[in-house]
Amino acid sequence: MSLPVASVGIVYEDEKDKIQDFLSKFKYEDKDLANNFANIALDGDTPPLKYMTQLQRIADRDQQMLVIDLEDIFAHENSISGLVSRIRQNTRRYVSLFSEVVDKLLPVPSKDISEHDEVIDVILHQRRERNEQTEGSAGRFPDHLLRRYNLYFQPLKSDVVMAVREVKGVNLGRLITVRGIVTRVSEVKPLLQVNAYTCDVCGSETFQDISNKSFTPIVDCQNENECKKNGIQGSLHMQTRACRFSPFQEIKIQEMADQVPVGHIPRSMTVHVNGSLTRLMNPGDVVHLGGIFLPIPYTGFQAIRAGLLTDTYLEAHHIHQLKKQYSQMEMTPEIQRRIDELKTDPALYNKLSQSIAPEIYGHADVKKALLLLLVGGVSKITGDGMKIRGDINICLMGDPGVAKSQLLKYISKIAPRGVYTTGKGSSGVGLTAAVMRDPVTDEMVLEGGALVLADNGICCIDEFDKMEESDRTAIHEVMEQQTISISKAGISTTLNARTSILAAANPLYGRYNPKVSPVENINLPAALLSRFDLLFLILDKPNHDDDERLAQHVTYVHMFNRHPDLEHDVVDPVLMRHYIAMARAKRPTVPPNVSSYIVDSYVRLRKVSKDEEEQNKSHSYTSARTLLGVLRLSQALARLRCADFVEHPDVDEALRLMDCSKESLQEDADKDFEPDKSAVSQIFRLIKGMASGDKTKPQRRQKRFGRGPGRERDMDVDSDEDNDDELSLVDIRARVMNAGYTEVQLMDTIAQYEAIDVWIRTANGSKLQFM
Amino acid sequence: MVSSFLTDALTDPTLVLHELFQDNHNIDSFPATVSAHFSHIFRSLDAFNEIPVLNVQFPPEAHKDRSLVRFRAMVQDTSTSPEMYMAKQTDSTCGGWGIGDESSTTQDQSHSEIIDYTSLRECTVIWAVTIPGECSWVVNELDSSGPTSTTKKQTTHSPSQPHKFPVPDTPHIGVQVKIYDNFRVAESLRSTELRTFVGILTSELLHGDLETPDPPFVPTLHVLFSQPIPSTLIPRTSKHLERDIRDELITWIAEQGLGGDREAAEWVLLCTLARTQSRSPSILPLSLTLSYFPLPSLSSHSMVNTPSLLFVLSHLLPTLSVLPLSLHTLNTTSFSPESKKENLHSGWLQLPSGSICVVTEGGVTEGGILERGLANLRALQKMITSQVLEYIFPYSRFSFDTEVGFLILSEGRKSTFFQTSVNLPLKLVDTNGKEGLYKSPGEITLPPPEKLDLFRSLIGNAKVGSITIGEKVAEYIRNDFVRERQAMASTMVTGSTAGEMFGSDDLIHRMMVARLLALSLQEVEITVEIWERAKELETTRLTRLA
Repeated sequence: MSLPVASVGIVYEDEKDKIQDFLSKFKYEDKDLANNFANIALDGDTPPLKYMTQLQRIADRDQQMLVIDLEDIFAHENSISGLVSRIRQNTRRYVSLFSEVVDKLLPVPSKDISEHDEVIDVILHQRRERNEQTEGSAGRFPDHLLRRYNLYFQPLKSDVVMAVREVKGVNLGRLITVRGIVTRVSEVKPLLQVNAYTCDVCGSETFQDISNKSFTPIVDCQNENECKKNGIQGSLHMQTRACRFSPFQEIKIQEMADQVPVGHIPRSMTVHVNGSLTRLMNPGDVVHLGGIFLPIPYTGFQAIRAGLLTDTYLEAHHIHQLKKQYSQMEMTPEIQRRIDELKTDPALYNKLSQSIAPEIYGHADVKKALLLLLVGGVSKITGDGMKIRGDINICLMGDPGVAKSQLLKYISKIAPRGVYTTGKGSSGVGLTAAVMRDPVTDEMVLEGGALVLADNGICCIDEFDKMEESDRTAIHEVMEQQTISISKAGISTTLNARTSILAAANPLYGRYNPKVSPVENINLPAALLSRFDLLFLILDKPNHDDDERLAQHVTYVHMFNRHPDLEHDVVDPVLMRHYIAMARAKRPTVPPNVSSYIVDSYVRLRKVSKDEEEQNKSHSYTSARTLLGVLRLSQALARLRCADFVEHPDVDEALRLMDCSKESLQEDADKDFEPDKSAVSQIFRLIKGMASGDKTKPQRRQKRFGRGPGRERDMDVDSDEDNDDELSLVDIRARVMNAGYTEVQLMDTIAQYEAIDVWIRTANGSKLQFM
Repeated sequence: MVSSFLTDALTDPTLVLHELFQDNHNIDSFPATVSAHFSHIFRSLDAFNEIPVLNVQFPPEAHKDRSLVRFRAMVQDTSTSPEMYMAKQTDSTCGGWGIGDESSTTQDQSHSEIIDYTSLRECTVIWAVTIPGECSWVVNELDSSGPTSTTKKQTTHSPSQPHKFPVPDTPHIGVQVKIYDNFRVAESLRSTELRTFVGILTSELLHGDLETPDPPFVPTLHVLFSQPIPSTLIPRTSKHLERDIRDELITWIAEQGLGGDREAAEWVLLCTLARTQSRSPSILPLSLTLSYFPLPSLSSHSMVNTPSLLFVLSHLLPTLSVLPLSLHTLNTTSFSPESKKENLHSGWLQLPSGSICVVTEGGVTEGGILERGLANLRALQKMITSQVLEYIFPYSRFSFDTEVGFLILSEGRKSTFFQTSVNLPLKLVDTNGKEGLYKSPGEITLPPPEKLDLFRSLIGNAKVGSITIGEKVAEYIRNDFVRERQAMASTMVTGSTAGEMFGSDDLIHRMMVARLLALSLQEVEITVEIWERAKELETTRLTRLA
């Protein structure tokens, strides 16, 4: 079956000359040389001829596959419109053209190959001898009977990868590349290529070339000299031993989720795989298949009924297995540009955190924490093999209906390898790993659960409290050691599970009960709680402003059937993903001065914790894990800035988040005494703190202050006196932005407090002086 | 002139195709020409009704080979890859639409050599089935106007691919549909979409599986043109009807199907009107559980164990699917469609948009639920809460948006398996209450046909109606909510019980009820009165629950 050529005017003899030129002259490139070093007999300095070397190996029967890389032809001809494009347009024809040229060029074997002889060679040899005896009139065998190689084309690297549904009638006969997941693989069957017969009467052999799935056997001997002359009929017998078969496999591929338009059913495609390409694919593989899209006419009875209809299939020429963790992270110049833009944004931290689940109102600190969870700290392996986890674990606890699950789902979607699961639906086995029987191969296989699947990603576990106690303990190992040990069904192994865990849980009895202590409400063992770097308690408390805002939202949605416009810009998820991926590549370190600062803070935290414990007010526990938690959070913040060093403000913010997390556990009564929480007041307090070294927030404010130009970083410098209550606006801005407020809010604050004569701007508005 | 076209098209559509091809040799534009030509001929409703119908009463066997039919159908499977056909035959006559090359029938293998590949074109192949749960009154209304040209066959049609219909063991028609006019319709067709296909009916091999040595013959429809069907099946407008109709309708549902419980009847009505307003933010149909719905008593003289509510609803709604839960259906049948060997098998829940699915829990007995049963329960719950159905494919699952209202009849105080947005305990009023719930279809007193028509239009109109909220009412609602929350907070401080909080979810829920209430009242806007009425409805429901 050959295909017609749409553009007339191609002289195939000329094409063959070109092919011959290419095959006989193309040399290995350097990179190929490195790859195939073992296969090449080095002779001299010039790189060997790529295809001629292979032809020699084929002649010696050491090689079966001859892959013609279109890139090579492209490099040889230096034009994409010439031979390359004609091959891509009419591939089947060029397979035979190339094969003809190869037959012509095929050198004689350079070694004895008789041990590879097949029956057909014997027959051939015998016939050749007999022909010599009888002064041969019978012609030589057709070349294709003697071919010992499969010729494949490898598509250009730039070839557009298509989805199954994009393959249309216009692609018939062309070399295309399709991506899909292999869903079904047939057994490898022998496909008859040459059928051989012997004649009962004259003993001569007849060969029949088979190109279709079905064929009509020949019954009459074709020997011109004897049987045909004598009119003898029906004397042929099939000789299975002399027939030539080629391995053949039929494969089904199906579109991947990202290729299917929303709301449509994925399509599948039949792929035929021949010769050396068989047995290279298994169900479940994601592959790029280069091949020829061909029609296959119905035959026999089907054809009579169906009219002239054909089915289609892809004849595979090139298989490219994609790695299993294939992710659609493709950096385009556009995204690069936007990332660079984003990097310089002073309010980056704020902007990114607000873009997490933008439709959920409020929860600013929770969102910030989640952003840090996405970025993660730096994992370390110490000299003696100890591993220190860098992934941040967060637990959200709260009343039903406070959008915990939405936050979780959003995170699982945006994280590069996010898995969402509910504690109720998954047993410990489902979360960790299971030994299962593979439905296809029927072998025992180790199947990773959610935690293993989320290796190097984030595992979001909803309904954490509803999990079986025994299952929850399986998570202990993951949360600190980041491995999963299994010994089951004779398999004993340790799997990596370097995941961050984001858990959501309801308080005891579903709703937070203010009558009992927070510890009772939380109802999770300390061993587990201490493994979470941050724990947020989100309660649904009636509050006039929030309620009104919520009601406004709900009525708006029902009025217009859409969400109200957001107050702030949202960084779109794709960009965010890229930014996070980039940030994760950084490995910021902690300089000595910052590290001593962290140590001091930790000591202070321990002391506070001890005091609280004495007063019986403690709801949380400060341990060495807290110290690591602060480190991780600061590292994540430094990563977010794309910085190589952790700085003081990072530590401050980390401590602030820790505080927030702890604060959320305090009871209502405490909260009532909290000062005004509006942004303006908070900024004011921040600036005031900078100026005076607020006594209620000891030491660190002063230290921060010590960073002024030319100042010692020693902590004993009393900055108050030197400073004259004058602050540089540049410092203020940096500090305020870093704490997550906007420029507008800052200016607002300055203007408001200036109006009531608390401070004035001096030095042309570049400094702020308290009155 | 037109009338002669009409008769030609009706008697021998193949001939018309040939003639059309004589005038138009461009095989690329020909399919569009065909579809334009035929939809022009049948543009008037009268002409359209002339086309013989293909349905359960008139199965493929009742039609002559290659006769023109119309088929009101739900798209079941669009996964088959397109098929190649000869758009122009060797003798330069029209190809496609199942027109075979006469000369080729005598040849076998050798004709593969003579195929001219340049005239190969592709057509989309899909599988379509009768609309699941289509109520008989709709069939009568839409199909009876057609000519009863062919003799009605008494032999029941046995579908060739029964696994491709959502409801197992139900008479239906499944047809392989081939669409030639690719770009306009075929590419955009989705699963569960409703469409009327008009075309030439014949019988062909099932396309798609090369491996099966002997693919079966299936009814095949070569589409000439097709039309979309509204989700109400019968086109509806937001025309105003008498106000009393709503009350009469509720009374009728209550008396005939719910043992006189008018409140339950009102909730059932609201539930049937629900539809997806938007996906993001999600405003999804309300689901309703009628709890304390008694089981049919074994002593009952009539052996009917289908609640008469179903018969009542089937007189009112265009499509009504019943999912009788039992251990058997849970463990052995499939709720979600599943692709097996590249063939999409249907599941109970593959239902068209706008249909109502009644789940009866009465048939569940003691026993174990297998893995499949669990998957089924999960699929159903997911569809109830988020109106999304997952189709199972090898190595992947694909989510499809659905729009199906759910009504669950449960014997207990709440549904055994599912969470719905509304739970209402049934309160029988009639003296013979329990008996009244399980009447045979014949025992149901139907209102006069005109009245029944009005009932249907009320529901149909409400289903397509739209509701707005004015700024003033919106403000009222906001204040109302804030007030309620404050009250709640103060009770919490004074402290009797932690109690049920009235949260955002409740507000959203109440909004939904108000919307549906407004629709059922034929209003276009939610007023303060409707809001208060919705609140009242909710409050009485909650007191019933307590």
